[in-house]
Amino acid sequence: MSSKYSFYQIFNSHIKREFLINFRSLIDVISIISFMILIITLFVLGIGPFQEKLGLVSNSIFWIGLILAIIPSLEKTLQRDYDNGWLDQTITSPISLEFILLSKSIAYWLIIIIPLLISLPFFIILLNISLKLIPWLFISILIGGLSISLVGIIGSALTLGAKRGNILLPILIIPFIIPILIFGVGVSETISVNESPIGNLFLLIGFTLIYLVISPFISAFLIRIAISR
Amino acid sequence: MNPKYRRLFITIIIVLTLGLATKLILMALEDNIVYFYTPNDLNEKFGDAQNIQNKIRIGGLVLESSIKKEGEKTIFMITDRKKEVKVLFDGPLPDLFREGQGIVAEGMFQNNNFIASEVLAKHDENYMPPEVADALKKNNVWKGDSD
Amino acid sequence: MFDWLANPNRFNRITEKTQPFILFISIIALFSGLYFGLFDSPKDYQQGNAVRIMYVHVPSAWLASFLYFSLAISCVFYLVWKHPLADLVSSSIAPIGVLFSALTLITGSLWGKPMWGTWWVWDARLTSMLVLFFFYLGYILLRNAFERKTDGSKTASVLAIVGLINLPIVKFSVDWWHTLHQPASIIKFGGPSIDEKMLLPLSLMFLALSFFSLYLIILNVKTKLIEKKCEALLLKSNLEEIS
Repeated sequence: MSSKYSFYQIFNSHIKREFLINFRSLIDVISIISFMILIITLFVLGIGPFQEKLGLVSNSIFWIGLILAIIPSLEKTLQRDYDNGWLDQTITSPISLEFILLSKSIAYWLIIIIPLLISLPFFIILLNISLKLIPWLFISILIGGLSISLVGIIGSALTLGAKRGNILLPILIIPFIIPILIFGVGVSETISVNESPIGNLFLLIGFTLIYLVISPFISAFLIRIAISR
Repeated sequence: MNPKYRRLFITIIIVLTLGLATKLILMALEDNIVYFYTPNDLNEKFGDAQNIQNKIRIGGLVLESSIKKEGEKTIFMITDRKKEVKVLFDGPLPDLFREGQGIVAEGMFQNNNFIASEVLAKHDENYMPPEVADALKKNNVWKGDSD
Repeated sequence: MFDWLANPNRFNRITEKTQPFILFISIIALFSGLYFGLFDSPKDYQQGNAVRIMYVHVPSAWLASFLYFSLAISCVFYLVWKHPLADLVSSSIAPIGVLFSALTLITGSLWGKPMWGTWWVWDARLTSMLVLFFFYLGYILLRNAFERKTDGSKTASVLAIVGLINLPIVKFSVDWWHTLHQPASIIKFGGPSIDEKMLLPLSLMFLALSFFSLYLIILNVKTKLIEKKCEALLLKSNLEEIS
């Protein structure tokens, strides 16, 4: 990397770029949120809209809704940059691809998490989630969201240029999301039975840190394979 | 930054992050994410059984000569040799269900009685013919049936 | 050693001679294992005759994990040393891994119903085995999802290597958590806790199944080598036609 730009500047400009791309047309964000509402609706109507039944599973429904709503938009994240040649340009630039992918996943995380957190009160009302859970739900979504976007970048890189990538991607990344789901739901679950959520929270953070380290390297490796075609 | 130092810097950050992740996971595993609780775990974690409102699983051994049948209902005690829990269950029991057998019961507490909705048998990691098991029992070197 | 084996012609020559022996050993071990397992081994003190499911279940479970490990290792060889034979090996292992992980789940389910009282529980061992099954499946699907074969091979290899994270979870899930699944009996401190008369059919079945899968893998690799040769010949004749 040339010493002309600092890490921070590069990071900043990438976040800005992603935000501009994604928020210029709000379609992605709006579709994620509305998809999530519809998934939740399906769950609630499928289970039967009885308060006592819903009280037991509302956390899980929220998490599953979150994961399912994010997955369809993942395929596009790198595919778009691949199609318009941005990735080819980046790979030849002196800035390390790993670092760019890290900034990209963080940007993607912010892009999906901010609207979700804004609409969180809405989901809480829809699912009748108890008030004491809210701060913990907030924290676990914040951490879990980062994991999902890191794993999502791997998935997006895996299916770069693949046929039927949109159907393949969930099959490939859901195994990696399983621990996040278990521990993310676990945090709220332990709170709702008056236990300490620390164990689950630590596991959630632990997995997220592991993904944080491995995801940029794996995705960069995969992108180099895809570009060299 | 000089590329050589940059690489070193990145490596150190990676190692530290992975170390922290391992540390957190190991700490959490001590805290135990469990499929079931033993009666003693329950006592240590919650104190009185009245504090437990939600569905849980209890694992332990069926206390010897504690099994009673009341029509369809089976009443027995689960023990981990430290504490006991009284379990009420009405439904089909697995073949392995017998005195001294390790089992896992799923259900809720009601006035200090555990109302099980499902009872599963957990067999141990020892495999041996019945004659050997008898001989071991006779000679008091029996180690099975625990856990 | 790997480089030496990696020459397709040498591979063909060596396997030509060893393949019948591998099949022979596997068949002998299979029949003697089945005989001992079904007729000449004692009932378990707890489980009675149902313990005999173990003679299929346990070897399949070991093989499912071991084959995944070999698959990932051969993917490493492919990515690092770029030898096409390593890729053929991993792609030949994958369907056999699918078979054994499915067999593990099915026989485990058949064992679980009479013993535990349920076909399936979501405890850590069962769930991680299911995830292993999906890693095999994901590898195969991803491999075939690309226009050009080498793209699929490389990308799927990366997936297989990342999936290695799951193996320690499969192995140690029964020690780390209280699970319904019983802990390890054979590979553990203080020696195996299984009667010798039961260990014999178990080892024989393991020998049989592992040699049988080795046989299948070699057969698979050979088929793929021939396929490649055909493709090359076809390409050559097409080129000649054009020119």
